[in-house]
Amino acid sequence: MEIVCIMCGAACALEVKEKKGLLEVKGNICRRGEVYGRKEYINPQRTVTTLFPIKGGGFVPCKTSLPVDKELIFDVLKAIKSSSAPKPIKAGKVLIKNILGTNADIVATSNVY
Amino acid sequence: MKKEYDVAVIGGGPAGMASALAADREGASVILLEKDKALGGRLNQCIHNGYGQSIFNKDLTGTEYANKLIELINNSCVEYLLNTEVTEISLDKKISCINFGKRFQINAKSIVLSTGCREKAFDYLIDKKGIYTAGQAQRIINLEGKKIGENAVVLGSDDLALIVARRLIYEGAKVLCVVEPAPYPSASIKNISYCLSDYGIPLCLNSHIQSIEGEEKVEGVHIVTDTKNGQKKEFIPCDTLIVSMGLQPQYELLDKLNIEKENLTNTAVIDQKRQTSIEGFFLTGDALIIHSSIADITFEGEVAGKNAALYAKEQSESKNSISVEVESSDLIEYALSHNNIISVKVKSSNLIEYALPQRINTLDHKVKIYFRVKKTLRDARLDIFSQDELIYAKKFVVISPEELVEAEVNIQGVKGNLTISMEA
Repeated sequence: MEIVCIMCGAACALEVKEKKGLLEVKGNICRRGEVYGRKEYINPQRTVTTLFPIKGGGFVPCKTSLPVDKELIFDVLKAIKSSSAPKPIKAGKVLIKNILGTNADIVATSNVY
Repeated sequence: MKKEYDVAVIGGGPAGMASALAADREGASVILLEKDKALGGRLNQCIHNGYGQSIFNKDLTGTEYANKLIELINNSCVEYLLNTEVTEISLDKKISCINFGKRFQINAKSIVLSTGCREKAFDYLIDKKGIYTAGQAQRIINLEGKKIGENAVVLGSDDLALIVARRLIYEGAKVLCVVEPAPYPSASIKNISYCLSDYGIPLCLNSHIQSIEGEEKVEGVHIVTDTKNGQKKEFIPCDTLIVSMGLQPQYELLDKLNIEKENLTNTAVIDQKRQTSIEGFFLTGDALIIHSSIADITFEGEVAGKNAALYAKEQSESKNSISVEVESSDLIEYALSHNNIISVKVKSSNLIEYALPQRINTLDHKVKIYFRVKKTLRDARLDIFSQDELIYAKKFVVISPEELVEAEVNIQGVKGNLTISMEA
């Protein structure tokens, strides 16, 4: 698999291969590239940020408290869209606990009074 | 509210808040003036993460970062006024304000301008529905909670454009492609990966939009791509065009006072205290230069705020200034020098975007000089000379355009102008 390393502006083109059950990362000029390549190959994860609906209208910005599996991003967005929470909401408030079993919570990232 | 302050900070975004907090730490009385209904500036519409790691040791969203600074402001002695627009600053540091039709004046011993930036104008501002600047689109989606289209094309590949592209995808729209006139994208590699590659959005380099279809509404764009074998033309049907032409510093309030500026770039000339050519007037944040990291903006704000407070305390020495000039090399486009004298001849390749500060007070022992490169450089070498003497040298494996490169130069005993030279 080809992965572009994002750790710095060098943007190394990594090639990650499985050889006899071991992962081999090529193309990196530093150690961070190897770590990133492995992580992106095995289990790429992203923090998701969007708006969370407020009961009766309006919204509050929110995020996943931890990065979630990349393939779950759209499921997470869908789950957020179909939920709602009443005002007032303070930044840091947990809006959905353990979303889709990922261990990440959806938390508010701003205040709405 | 008092009418007299040591330091007045104009603009309550991250640079202004950092500036006010730094001045407060120096024991100055500080008033922070914000035209919007809340502090935070552009951060309030940045709901995405990627902020805060280097300052708060935590990955934060833009809104969270703003809230952290607001919390610090609320726990400090800084006073602030919201919904307060500054209409004029006079040379004797009287600040004319307007707040919901009520006019008043504030006097300060020093003034920090941190009024941020605005989006550059673009040629596609034509009367068709469905065309937005990236910043407008971000505001409409994130602050007004509205959807802006189903099928979008994005022109420009800076970080803001890419963040907006991902945001559109999250709101259920399709982003058909990102069109970039240059042969390389201007966003960070992280945003290219996390905003485009993750969602399979094509990046069309060496491309521009030739024309826009549709009478009243955008119905599609004609894209022309320069290739080795000539031009390739393509029509992409779409209902939305997002244009991101980059940002430019906004500092009209000081410009009206005729502060010294760089002719070519319109950048204000400052010293290492972020003081402009008029004593007691400081400029910081994106109002000075466009930064790409919130850590740099916060740091810049702190430098300006601290020095504004010190200036208020004692009229600081502004003698012994020397200027920073760029050697006439074909690699460097320009740097900014004392007295508006540009001693730089622009030749074919341009490696350096700018260098700050343009003036240095040699009473300091060490000074940090900042610059940005125009494109990714590998195996680059930076030399700084004072007259013919090499006083600083550094090698870089890689430098990319999104980072503000820092060179901490020992200037003790330095007598002549500095010359920055970059080779790759």
